Amino acid sequence: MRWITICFFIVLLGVIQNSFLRVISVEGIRPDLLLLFALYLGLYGRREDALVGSWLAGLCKDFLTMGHIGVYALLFLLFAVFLSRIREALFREHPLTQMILVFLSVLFLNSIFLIPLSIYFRLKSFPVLLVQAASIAFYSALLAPVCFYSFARLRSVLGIRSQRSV
Amino acid sequence: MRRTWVRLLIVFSILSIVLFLLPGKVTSFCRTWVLSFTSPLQGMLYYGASGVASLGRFALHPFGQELENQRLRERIARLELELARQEALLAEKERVVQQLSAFRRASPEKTPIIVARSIGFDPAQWRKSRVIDVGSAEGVSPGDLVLAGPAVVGRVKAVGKWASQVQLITDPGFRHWARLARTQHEGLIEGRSTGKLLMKYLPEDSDVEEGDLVLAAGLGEEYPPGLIIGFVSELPQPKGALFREVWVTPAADLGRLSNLLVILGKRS
Repeated sequence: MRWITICFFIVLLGVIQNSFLRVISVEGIRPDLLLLFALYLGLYGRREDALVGSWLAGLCKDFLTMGHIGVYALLFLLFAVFLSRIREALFREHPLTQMILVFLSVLFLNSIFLIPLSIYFRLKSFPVLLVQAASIAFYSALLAPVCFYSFARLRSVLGIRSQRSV
Repeated sequence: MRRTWVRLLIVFSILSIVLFLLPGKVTSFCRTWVLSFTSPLQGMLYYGASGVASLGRFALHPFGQELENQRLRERIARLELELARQEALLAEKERVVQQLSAFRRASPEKTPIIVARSIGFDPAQWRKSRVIDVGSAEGVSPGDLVLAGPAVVGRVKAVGKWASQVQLITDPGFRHWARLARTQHEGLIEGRSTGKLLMKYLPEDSDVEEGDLVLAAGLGEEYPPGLIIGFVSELPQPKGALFREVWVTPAADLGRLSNLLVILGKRS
């Protein structure tokens, strides 16, 4: 992978998610571009590239949000590794597969993030936040085929190689 | 091959944990650099998004006209009901704006106020923050209060050269003392990711009503008095505890922040 290009691309995705995506936000709900890219790497990239690329995507999200650094980096890393392990059993080219995978991944990741957040800040509105998480997951899943297609078109530019082509 | 990715997994997991355990000052320092690096592009994309949104509204105008009319009729009905409640709030806000202007005239050099614009959101959506287009170059420091008119929006958390990150009052990590304007009872405001605030530690027998104005407290002399946080929106049934909790709706429309005021000064 072209790591410098990948780093700039990840930062660009993060900034787009931060600012430009308000055009398509619905009641404040926006898709998670950085996680979509991490999941794409997990599904289609070499395992080592997926690991590092998804960690960088999570780190970018950590830097752009508030709170401790490293949380999203670790979560994105673990999800990408998990996907890279099970992808051979999936028909990953089908848009429905992509949407279901993204929906479950985004929902699960946000739920994992919300549990310690709710405990730490003693939030009593966990069910409401869970509904928001499901909305984000649904929105991200709707855009997954489009995003994955766009990432696929940029494979040569970013230097993303599949597992078999070394 | 297998060993390579296992090693990478262990290394990056340990690195993530190390980053998590970094002190807050180091984290803020790193965010400062990220803000400085990304803010020019962020500003361009944010204003570009405004242009795209305007173009979209113009393009869809003929087709959405009937839908728009229906929506507007419903909105008028809601607004008429809201108008009655807002009149009292408006009088209070006018009073605070006058105080703010008088304060600004009285001490223009002591506590400068600068205008800022929101150019970015928090990507996590659970933490509530905004990126504004002023930073250390304009004299912004961590802890500076950010207002939308007379309403408190949040506090500056990280400062880059040309941009800053503002922790909104609805962020779960936001805490501030507040008082009820009518009864002067004080309580602690805590942000909630759902967009509302929880006011805690009110006396159990406090005379709180829906619509009561909540003002910021304990800010110190360098800040204008009577800055508005919000108004009481829900009164959960008291459970016989020592203190009472009420839900507060922020006075500022945090979903549509545009022009903001940053009060540069000492921290409370």
